[in-house]
Amino acid sequence: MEVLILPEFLDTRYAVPFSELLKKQEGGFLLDGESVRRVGGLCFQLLVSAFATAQALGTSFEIRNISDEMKENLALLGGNFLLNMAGEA
Amino acid sequence: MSKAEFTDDMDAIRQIFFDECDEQLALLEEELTILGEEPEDGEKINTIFRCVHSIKGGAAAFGMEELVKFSHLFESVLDLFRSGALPVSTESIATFLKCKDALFDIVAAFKNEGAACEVAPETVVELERYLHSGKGEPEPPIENIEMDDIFGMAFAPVKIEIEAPIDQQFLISLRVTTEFYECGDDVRNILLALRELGTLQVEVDTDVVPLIGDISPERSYLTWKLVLETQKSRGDVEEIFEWSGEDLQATVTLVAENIEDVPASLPVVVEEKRDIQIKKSPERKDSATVRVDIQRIDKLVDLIGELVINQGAIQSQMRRNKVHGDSVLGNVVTAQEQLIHELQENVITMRAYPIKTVFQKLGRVVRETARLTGKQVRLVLEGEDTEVDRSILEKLSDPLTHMVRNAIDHGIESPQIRSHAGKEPEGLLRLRAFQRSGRIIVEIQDDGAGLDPDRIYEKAVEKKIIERGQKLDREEIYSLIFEPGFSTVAEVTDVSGRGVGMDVVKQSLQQINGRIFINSAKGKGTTFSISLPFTLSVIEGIIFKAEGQDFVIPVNNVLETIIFDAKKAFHVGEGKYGYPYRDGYLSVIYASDIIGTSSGGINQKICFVIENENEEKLAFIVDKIIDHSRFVVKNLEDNYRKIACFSTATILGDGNVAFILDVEFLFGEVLKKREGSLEERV
Repeated sequence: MEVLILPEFLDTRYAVPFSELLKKQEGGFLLDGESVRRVGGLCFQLLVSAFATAQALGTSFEIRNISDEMKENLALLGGNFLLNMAGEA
Repeated sequence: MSKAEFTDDMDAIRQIFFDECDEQLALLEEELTILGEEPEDGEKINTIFRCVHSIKGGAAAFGMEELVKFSHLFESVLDLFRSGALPVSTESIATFLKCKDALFDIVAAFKNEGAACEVAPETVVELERYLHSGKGEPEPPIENIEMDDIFGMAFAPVKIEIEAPIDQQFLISLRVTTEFYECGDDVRNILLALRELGTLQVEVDTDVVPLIGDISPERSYLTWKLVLETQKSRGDVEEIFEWSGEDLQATVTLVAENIEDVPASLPVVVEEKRDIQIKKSPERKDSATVRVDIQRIDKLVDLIGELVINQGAIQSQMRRNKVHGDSVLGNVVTAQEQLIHELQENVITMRAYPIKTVFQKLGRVVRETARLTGKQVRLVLEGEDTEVDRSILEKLSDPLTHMVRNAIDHGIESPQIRSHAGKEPEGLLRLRAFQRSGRIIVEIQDDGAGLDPDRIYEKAVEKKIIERGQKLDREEIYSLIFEPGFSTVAEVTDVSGRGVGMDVVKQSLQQINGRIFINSAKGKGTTFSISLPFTLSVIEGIIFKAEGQDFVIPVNNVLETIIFDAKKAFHVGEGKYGYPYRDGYLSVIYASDIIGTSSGGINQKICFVIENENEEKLAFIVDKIIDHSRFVVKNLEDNYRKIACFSTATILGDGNVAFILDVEFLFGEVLKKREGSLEERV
């Protein structure tokens, strides 16, 4: 499975290219969040969608090396379940 | 959507954000000015707070951290004033104005692709002092106070019981629309703002989010349920959603007051829920407006210009084919002409902006110049809603800035001199705009020392602009300040003398067909009146023939038209002629001399008596008058090249180009003739 390295800013500007990249993932989602400093609403929505897709298809969803900023941003947006389930889906 | 298209869209959204920043900053300046006059008006502080809050929100969406950081600090201080914890005073308004200027600079830096911009440290220190102060004015810097030295006493800490504010619990339902993101905003900003108010629990409803194969990345699907525990009021909570308008659907419900007394698991609704979407700020007026790219309007103006030219072509063909105006076709064409004329006027109005946009920038110029010169200046703005074509407005800013600086630096006296002269220590600078006879008049009036005609005359002699003994009336002496070389490097000050003299101001105004007049009284002050056309796109002119070619002269320069009697013209020197006019005589310029294909002036039978802004007159002799009409102006430099004696050109109904005469050039030719040379013919 290919690791998708996430950029510093997962903001509105990145939503379209991010969705294209996620749509190309096969056999689950393996993301690297080491560089992420900010997560906006639309990219958060895409993470939620990827998570739901993994659950529906019985594949994996994992965010590796989550930065503190990404962790804090996901918590702010109500996405703790993505943190808890990272690597467990 | 491709990445390129997406980037274009984001750039467009970013541009909208900057436009909105400009609007918010203009409103901020306006409200701060009014607040200075009515400091007890609480609604003004609310509006000011909202402006800063809006800028902060948008800035956060674009990751403009410096802007977010500073606007947040400013907003926090404003909140203290809004809540009544600190009273508004002259000093605090001065600080707010500095903050507004700082916001302007940071926005400008981001506009220019993120050029670094730092807020003056003293402004930040002032804000921080307000933030940490419970008093109305900034506390002096801590380091300057020796606590033990105050009255020689030592202080022991005393415990004071303060009633703690009661925590409240709000249940918030939040739905973010797709439009919210399209405006460049982000739900993250809302959640961050709410979290700053207290403790926030967030639960996101993910049920409606499609799987990744079906999701539209720019569409908003999520809703949030939030529980906020805060000591802030409902108003403070609702404020966070207000500036997002209808793009954010939020419902705030006060679940419990004093939550320590209420079991956490049993929310008690003490008040009916209120839908934020319905609430509108009392200051905000409903106005049906559409934001349109200015280039589209410019294109529309150009297209209508082409339509006018085409209309002229139809009428030209009708004349050639002897179709009378009262025929059926003639009536249809006349009706169409009327419609096109109306359409043109409406579209030109669309491109008109209130002069407020320029006036408000001058507020800062006044503050800075007054600070640099140590003078006290009160700025009064009048007629800010007067509308001017954008193309004129853009070129008006620089000359006005220079004139305002000049008025403070050279016009208004220092407080000591003013007091000595029996004036208020604070000088008055009034900027006024209004419409008169189809033109826009902008006045810059000060109550300073006024112009000294003797000093101007002496200086003009010294600079060899005039010869000693030359007789000039008061207005002519005043107009010497516009002569090149009158302002010299030796006079450069930090403020107004930046190598730009009043001659450059005059030239800038001439480029937009502006005229300038001076009215001054020694010891009482000076008024500069600038007369501007409403638009540069259309000119009202008289079309005439000279040497077989068509030309246009602007009608506002034509004083009258008389039959030219060549026998009355008299020779006054080499290449110089005079012509009797009323009780005197006029210098004569033959159109054939200007065009340079002289036929000896044999056909020249019409005399235009033309006048410039200095009320100088001359006789301009042409062959024949064709018509009086409105002409669509075409820029010569864009389409061909600059030609000395013509300002612009127009396309006539028959498709031919007619040059529009530069009247100032003709007066320049008269001057050259006076000096005994007629060079540089076209």
